[in-house]
Amino acid sequence: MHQLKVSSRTFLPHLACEIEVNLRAGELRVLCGENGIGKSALLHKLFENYKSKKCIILGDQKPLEFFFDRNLSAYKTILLSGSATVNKDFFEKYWEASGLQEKEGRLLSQLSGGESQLLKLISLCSAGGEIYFLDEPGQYLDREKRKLANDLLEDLKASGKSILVIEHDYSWLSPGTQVCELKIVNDTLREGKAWTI
Amino acid sequence: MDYLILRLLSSLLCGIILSQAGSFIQTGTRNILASPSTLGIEGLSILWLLCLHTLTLAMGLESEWWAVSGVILFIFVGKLFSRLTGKEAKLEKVLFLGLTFNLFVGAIFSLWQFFFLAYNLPFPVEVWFGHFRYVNEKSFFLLLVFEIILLAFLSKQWRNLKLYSLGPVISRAHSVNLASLYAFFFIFSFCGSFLVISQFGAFSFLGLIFPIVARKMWFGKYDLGGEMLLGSLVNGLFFMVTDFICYQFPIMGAEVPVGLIASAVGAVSLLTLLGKSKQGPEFLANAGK
Repeated sequence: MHQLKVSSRTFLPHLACEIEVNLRAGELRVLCGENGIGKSALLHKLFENYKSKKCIILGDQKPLEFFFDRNLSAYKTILLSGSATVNKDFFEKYWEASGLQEKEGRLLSQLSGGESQLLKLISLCSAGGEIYFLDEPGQYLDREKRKLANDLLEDLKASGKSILVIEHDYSWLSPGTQVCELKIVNDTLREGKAWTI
Repeated sequence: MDYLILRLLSSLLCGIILSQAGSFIQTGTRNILASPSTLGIEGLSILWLLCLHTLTLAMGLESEWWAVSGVILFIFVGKLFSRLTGKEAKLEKVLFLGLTFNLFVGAIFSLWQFFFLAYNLPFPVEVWFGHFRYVNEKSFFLLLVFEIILLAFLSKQWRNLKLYSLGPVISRAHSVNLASLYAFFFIFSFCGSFLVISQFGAFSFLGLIFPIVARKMWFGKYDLGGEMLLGSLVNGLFFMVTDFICYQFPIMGAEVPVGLIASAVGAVSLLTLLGKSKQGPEFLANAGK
């Protein structure tokens, strides 16, 4: 069980925060809430607080943030040969399922937003962390790709990873997933009502 | 060693070091406008050398201390800058400060030169526009040793560097120690730039243009090795040939400093890049491709 807690009076210039999320191994929890409420800031704060627990964060709104352009084949080679911690089977499985292997000659800069998002999701989720913080993993993805992203998250859960997701549209996630709404009470960000999909 | 061979080898090494220094800075900051010139490292090096030159005259300090003291200073500055990069400081602001600082040093340089000439003291005017006229074995071996150390560290960081080229988020997830990688980038690029300036003077904007050229070369396009090893070697060869032409074809009996040519070409290239930046920061981030 991971007790993820943010208790801060200066969470944001105008907002305090009192949040405690108990995340079991193999559990996926969704946090939702209106725009500007501080969801992404909370995710980054949690990531900072629990860095030592081998956390992975998908926290950038941009699909990819490369400097050197690469073709997909080179990207794959670098990732698989460069990192000792990468889960190669996991990566290969979703690489093929995503259809990215059919576009291996293509440059990263020529990928669509959805393809880039999926590539980033696959690369991060194969990195072998304990807790995954994912900020809107479903953005840019079409229905088929969201189904694939859901399979990927289910696989992570099955391997005992804990996942905290921020998502506005969580309808693509598996039934039974717990959702918790964030809300502001007396200038403090708190957990609101919770339900299962 | 024969003078011409020594000169050719020294200019080759300088070209390689400046190309690699620019590559490290641009990769670390993820901005193609970042370079030893635009970040103010060149200005700081010249200012430091002027101070030491004055101390040399005033106190009889040995000139060998120039390189040693500067390397210590730039290790510190590189470390400091790597921390700023880790905190995602506003690079546009840093670039603006760097360019302004260079202008400030230019003004100081002119004033300093005026006073030195007024008191009939020797002034190192060649610091501003570098050349290889007074090349010697000591300078060459200093740069050679630096390049060997740089390559040793580069091979140690190669895995991290490859992963970093996929983006900081991916590399962080795959256990790349970004703090140590940033320190490597900035310490080596700052020290390399300083060493070149301390031995041969400034070659403005080469650290800006060379990495962009290396990134666009026909071999190993979009490839890390293509840019940092082969590309920097080709840049070094190009720089060597340019210096050789300056040496072989003096104008009215006087040799044109290769640093003067580098500054002119580099400044025009920077203006071109800035002109294109109207298309937005996305363009700047990707313009090196």
